[in-house]
Amino acid sequence: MSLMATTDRTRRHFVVYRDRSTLAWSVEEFPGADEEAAFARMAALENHFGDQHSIEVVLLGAESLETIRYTHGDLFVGEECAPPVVPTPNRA
Amino acid sequence: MGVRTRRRSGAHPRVARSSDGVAACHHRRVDDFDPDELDRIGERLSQAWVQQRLLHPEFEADRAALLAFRTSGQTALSAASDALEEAAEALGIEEFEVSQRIKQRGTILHKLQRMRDLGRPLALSEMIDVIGCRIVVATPAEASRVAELIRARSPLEVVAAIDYATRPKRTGYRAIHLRARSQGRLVEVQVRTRRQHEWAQRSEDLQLGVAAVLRDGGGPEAIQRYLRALGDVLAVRDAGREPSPRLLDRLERAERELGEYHEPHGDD
Repeated sequence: MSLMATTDRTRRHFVVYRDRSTLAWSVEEFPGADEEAAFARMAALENHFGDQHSIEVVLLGAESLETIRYTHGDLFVGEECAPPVVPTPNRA
Repeated sequence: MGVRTRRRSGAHPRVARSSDGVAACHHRRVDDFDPDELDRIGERLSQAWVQQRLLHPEFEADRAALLAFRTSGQTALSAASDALEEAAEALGIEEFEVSQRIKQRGTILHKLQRMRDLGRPLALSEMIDVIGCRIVVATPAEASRVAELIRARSPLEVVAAIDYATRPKRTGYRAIHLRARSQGRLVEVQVRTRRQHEWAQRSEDLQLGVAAVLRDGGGPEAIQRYLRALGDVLAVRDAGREPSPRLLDRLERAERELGEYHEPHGDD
């Protein structure tokens, strides 16, 4: 059996914010090569909402937004909202 | 020949700055983290999380260290996802979905606290699903073939395979889990069929309405009964058969008894 890869997918990064108390969620997308920006955004949201247990901040990676909406569909129950305005440091 | 792992353009070592102003070095290897120190960090942060003092300045260095530990697994995680995709392609599977996630900080800290409360303390350095990836395929046969190919021929070193598909958890959860080492990091690989994934998503939806952790077997018995019945029905369908009238009746009754939990709602 040949196990050569037949495609060259580009994985993208998605930072999902969700408030379990209101079922509001937002998602921000980052190019695959820009994972540092995704890390920085995740960290900024985590540190802003750190003591609020109803807030979830998730970093996902997949080929497309449609993929994560399928594989992690539970995060997208409820209403989409604008991403929280939280200062995010520039990348190093 | 093993399943090849592609090296992605964004996978070379770089340094990011967290909002704590501390470098989050995702190129750090697992060997860079002292397990004992990691465990102490997990202990301190999980207690701070319970006390809602996580953002206190005294925990800034611990927060940064946990962030670095989590993000340092990104390259290993991408390699594991690549291996899943390439295995599926090599097997000629036409429809599959692959995604990966870094475990949420809050979920890690909650788990550490929960296990401590249950009298089964878990060390952060031994938490196997800090990074994880998932593939969803159509059928149990495809799931088994993907798992077998990953075990036999991929660059991932599978250290344990747990077949919840044939021996489901008491909650009704079904999937194949592989605990693997990817570039020195432990990765949890989940291989699910679409129906198994449907069950898991339904479980997560119902989790929104209750405080207890359903995956631990907690929460209202009506929910657990419904999930077990749903899992049994979907497993029969996954096997290519039609569920018996008795089984369908069991699911119908369990669904009726869900009552207020039927629709997802928030925590309030």
